[in-house]
Amino acid sequence: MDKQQTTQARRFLSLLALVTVLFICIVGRLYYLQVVKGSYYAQVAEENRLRIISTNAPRGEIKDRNGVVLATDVPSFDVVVTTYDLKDTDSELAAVAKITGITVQVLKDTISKAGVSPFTPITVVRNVRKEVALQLAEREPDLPGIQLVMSTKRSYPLGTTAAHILGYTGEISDTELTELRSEGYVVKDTIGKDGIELQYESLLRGQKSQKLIEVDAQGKAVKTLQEKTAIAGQSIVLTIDVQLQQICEKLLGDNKGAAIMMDPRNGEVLALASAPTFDPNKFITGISDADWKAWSQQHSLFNRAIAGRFPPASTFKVVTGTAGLETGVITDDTIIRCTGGLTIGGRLFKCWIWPTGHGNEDIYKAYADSCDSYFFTVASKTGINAMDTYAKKYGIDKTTGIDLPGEAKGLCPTPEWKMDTYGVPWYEGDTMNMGIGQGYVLETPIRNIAIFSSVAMNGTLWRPHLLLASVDPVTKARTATTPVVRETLGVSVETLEIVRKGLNQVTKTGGTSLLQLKDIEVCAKTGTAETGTANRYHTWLAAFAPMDAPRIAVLLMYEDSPYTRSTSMSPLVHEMLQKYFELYGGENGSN
Amino acid sequence: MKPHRLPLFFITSVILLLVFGLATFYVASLAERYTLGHFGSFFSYFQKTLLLLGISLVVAVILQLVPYRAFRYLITPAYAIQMALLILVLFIGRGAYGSRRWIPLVGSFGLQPSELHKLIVIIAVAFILTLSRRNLNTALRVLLVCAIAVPSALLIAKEPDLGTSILVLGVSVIMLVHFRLTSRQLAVLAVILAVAAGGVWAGLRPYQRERIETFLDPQRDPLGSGYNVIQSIVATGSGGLWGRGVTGSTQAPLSFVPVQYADFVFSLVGELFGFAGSTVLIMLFILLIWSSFLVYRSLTDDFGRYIVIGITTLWFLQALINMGMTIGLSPVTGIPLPFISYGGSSLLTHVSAASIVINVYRTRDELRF
Repeated sequence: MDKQQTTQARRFLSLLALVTVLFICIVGRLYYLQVVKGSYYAQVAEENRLRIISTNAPRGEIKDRNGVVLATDVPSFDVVVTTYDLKDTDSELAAVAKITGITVQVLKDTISKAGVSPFTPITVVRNVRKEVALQLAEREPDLPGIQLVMSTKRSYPLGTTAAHILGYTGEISDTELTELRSEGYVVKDTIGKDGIELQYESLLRGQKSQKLIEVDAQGKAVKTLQEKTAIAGQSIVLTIDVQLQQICEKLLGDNKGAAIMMDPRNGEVLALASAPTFDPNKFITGISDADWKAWSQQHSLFNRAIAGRFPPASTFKVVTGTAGLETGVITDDTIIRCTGGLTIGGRLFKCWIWPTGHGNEDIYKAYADSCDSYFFTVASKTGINAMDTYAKKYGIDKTTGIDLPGEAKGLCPTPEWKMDTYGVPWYEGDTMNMGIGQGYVLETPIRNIAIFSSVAMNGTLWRPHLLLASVDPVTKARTATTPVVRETLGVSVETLEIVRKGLNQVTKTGGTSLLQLKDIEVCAKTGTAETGTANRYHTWLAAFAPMDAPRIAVLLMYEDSPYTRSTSMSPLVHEMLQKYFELYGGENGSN
Repeated sequence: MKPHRLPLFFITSVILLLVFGLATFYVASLAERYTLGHFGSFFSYFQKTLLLLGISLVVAVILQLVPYRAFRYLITPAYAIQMALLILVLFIGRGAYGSRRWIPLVGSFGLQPSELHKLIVIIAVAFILTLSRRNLNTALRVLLVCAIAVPSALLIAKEPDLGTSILVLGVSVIMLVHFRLTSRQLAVLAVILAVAAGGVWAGLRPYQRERIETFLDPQRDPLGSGYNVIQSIVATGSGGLWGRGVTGSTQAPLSFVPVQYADFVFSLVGELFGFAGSTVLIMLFILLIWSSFLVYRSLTDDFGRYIVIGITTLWFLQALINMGMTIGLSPVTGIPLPFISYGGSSLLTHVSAASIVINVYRTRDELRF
């Protein structure tokens, strides 16, 4: 080798040494990619090839106790986006926006909210109209990554019937999604928003189908690796009887108010209506501005039967009578003379019959006449503390535990409460007003009927409930609700016997005699509460029958009533009772 | 006769590389069958590679018949024919995405003149650098090398095949570096190259610039040109330490990595055989270049030495660039991995190159012409 060749060899040697170092750098990089980050990339590789295709399970049906379908799923179309497959995101989303009328921004927000891998299809629009579905189906071949898929939407075949019980479903909200993501909810999912739909969401919902598929680089399915079929939601059978429910709704008509029918023996609610009502289908198909305005003005979505709080008026005399009898202030022999009112602390407390009077009243006649003077006196003598104790025994300040969301508690006023709230002391007049269910005391309609049920059942309140059973859609296995005792009054049987006898007397005279049923003794009590506006009242009528072995308790209540006297409601409540006995057997019927 | 007439290390490394390549395709085809339920494209690559390897070996044996020194007399017509083919391919060539790289031959087989041209340029440059010294000064020789390399590179760039074009220039430059240039002359050369590189950048097509930009930041456009690199990295990384083998590999059978049988074959190795297998392959390349160096060290003839320098340079440049691009260390240029990537012209070129190195070694002591 000559000198030049030696130089050249040295250069070549250095070059190859450098090259070797570079090769080792590649080994180092490989070490990082394959050993350090190997499991990460293995997972990315899995995500590359695996897609979970999830379809919603059919939501459980809701039926009445006789199998009448109240809520069900009907076929509909959804628009689904798989971001990975989008070729031109902006123009494709613009096309979808144009067809569906939903802005590109909303679509993009939905996609970003979904927070899933680009391979997971995201539902961006639910329940598109048929015309929209057809247009989209036509454009689908030009829109890779956008799919129209068969889905279901909720339908309430009877429209407004039992709307407040059923509630409605809707698209999962952002806050709900944050809370419930761990339970498998995803963006655009349907979720119960109110009523039974919300209360029994977990039963109705079912489990989505999940198909784990392997796809190639073009997104073409190569094979299905795992498949979990959808499990349809449980059907729910309500205690409601649609025929009774519809009677109640008919009676409420265009008024505001509530009507409830309940079996006092077990707490099964046979009807529960609130007016004004709404059509839950509109939550699925879209609510017009006019509807929304009307609903907002009239608080149509508000379930007055469980969440409305009203002065119970004379229906509260059941509580006052119980308190008087139990504390020994009165017996059923006690006579109190009604002269049309009584003056306490220089103020005249008028009986409703003022300026005349009822004359001598025992408790039976006092119930029959709804004599205010009698119960003013009883309340006054019993005193606020005992009144309060018995009001609480009847659960005025508690919920009944009905299986609906949003049940309100009543208000059981006390001297402390008044001082805290208004900064003024409790007067004897307050106690007297409370004695006739006026003043501060407030009750929900469901509590009111619960009180009458307790009286009917010798002091036992079975928890009012709407879920009769849930039924597995496949096995048909039925899980029935076991009735539970919610409260026991802790009041003597004798006292309740007297109260019942008094309530029975109510149906013997005057307008309330229209309540009478053939061969069945009815107990009832009316109530007419002042609204603060002259000649406008909230009117109540609660009843149960048969007197000796009660099977049905009913309550009808009008907020800002069309009647000035609650006794005018007697024919209506009669109709409710009559219908019940028609359907479920007459006197000592088999049911 | 000397005791060793054959460069055994060198031959071993070449054979191991070829076997490694075949094994990779075979295992990939098994993985494909496992996933898809039937043999797919990888099996056909395996079969075609076997066939092409047979053809290449015949060519390699033929190349042993002529002592390499005779190449001095064959290189001028060979170069002329190659240039003609490079011009021809621009008119009748086929290739992906509207490129014109192959001259179609039989069925799906075609000839890619640019592949073989790398070898022709190496021999031509070696020829220029070793022309009788009295007639030529250094500057003239550099100019002559440029006259060989630059038109070739331009024609190849026109196909367009920027990677190969740069490779031709790169190999020529590194061969020049091994010429008896002083440090000052090397510095002047460096300046000229820098100016030329600037000119090339200015002349690049947008997609070519984009590739380089993407290389600098693959996440810039994950579904665009960065997609290949990301998928390649994912496939490579998913191999882990020991690889995912026949039953675990998914990216290859489901073709997530584009052209994983050719340009991105290293990611296939990574996925199937993991860090262990990839490292073995890199060791084989290191063995290849150092066994080439051993051949080089045994040579006294400059023509032979330049040829070995050129061929070794071709290999390590291609291997480094290819592996680098697979794992995101160098731009995506479409340069195949020697001996491993699927491709007839590529295999033929590299087996021929190996045959020439053997030829040089075998006939090194024969009489000079």
